[in-house]
Amino acid sequence: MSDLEKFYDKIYRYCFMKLHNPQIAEDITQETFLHYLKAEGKGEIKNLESYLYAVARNLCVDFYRIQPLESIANEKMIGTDDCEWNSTRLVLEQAMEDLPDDEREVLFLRYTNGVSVNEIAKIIGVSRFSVYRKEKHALKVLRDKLDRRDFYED
Amino acid sequence: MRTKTIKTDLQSVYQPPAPRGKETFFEQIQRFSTEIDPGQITMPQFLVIQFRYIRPWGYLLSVIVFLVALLAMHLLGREAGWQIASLIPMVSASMIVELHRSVHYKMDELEQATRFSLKAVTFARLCILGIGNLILLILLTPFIVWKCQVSLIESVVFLLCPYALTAFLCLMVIRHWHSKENVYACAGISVGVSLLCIVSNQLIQLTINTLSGVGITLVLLVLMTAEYRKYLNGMEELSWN
Repeated sequence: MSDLEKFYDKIYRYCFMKLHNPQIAEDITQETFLHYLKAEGKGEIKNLESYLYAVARNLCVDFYRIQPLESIANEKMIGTDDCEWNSTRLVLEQAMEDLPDDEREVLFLRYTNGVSVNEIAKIIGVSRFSVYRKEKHALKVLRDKLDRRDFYED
Repeated sequence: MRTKTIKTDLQSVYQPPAPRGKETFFEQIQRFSTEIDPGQITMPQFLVIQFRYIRPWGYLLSVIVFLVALLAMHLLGREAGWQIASLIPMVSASMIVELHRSVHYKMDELEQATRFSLKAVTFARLCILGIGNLILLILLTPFIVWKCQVSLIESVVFLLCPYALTAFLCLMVIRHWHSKENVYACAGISVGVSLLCIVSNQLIQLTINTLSGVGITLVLLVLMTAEYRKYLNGMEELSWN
């Protein structure tokens, strides 16, 4: 159970990144863990971390298929009023929002949640080379954007 | 350097508020995982649960039959063979009545909606009662061999022949006659078979020809097994309906 608790916050944060709504993100997180508990006895799970991320990813996709992302995002501001948003984080998040979904996901998993390239490749179902390529491209785009805004000084 | 800074700053993006239901969620998981899950219950656990549901008079009857058989052997000596055989139908009939209890008290429909199918429950009870009866017959066999001066095969014929005949006839009645009164029919059958055993002592000297006795017993055992199978399959039909 402690293994699961260890991943709860990371999966929750991942769902929050995908859905921008803390309440829905937590619901999806719990659903992810329930999926895992159901599948646990069948011996299909080789790697707990990548399994949890993959299930969470699919559940998020299922969710915003039903409910448009814009309508969830509007709720985001209501749900996170009490958070202290520092300027660096805000600007970075805004820049990340402009990235394609898959690149944003790669950057988030790699640097925010500290997932290895191998695991990311398994989670999003692409090759390691493709993950490296997406990561490199996303970092370049992010850097260019922030440069244009003179955010980071040389 | 800039890229390195971005990578470091990325660690702080998408910081959601603290989860509200984490502790409750894991507490619930912990609680559910410690409760008995029907999918994970082992066969011995299931049998122990069913053992508790069987009425104690069934076991008590076996003990009484055993003691009466010992008394009969003590009093009648070599002549006790068929007298002991006449006690066995009661054991067999009591087992059928116990198995049929759910249907008799019209609880079968309710039990079909429970965690385990009625067929599984009845089969478990059949195994428990069958093992109990087997122990009784195994315990009686050496005494019959010793007191009645017969061979091991003959003593097995004494015990199994009335047992299988009663079970076969009772199951046939229960399967074809759907009434609350079929319990009395089973009692009647067991009395009938008991009387037949007593009469056999005088009219048919079955043990003279051991081979024919073994043959009849085997045929009756096959018929009994087939009836049990049909009885259990009938419960599967009920669950499908």
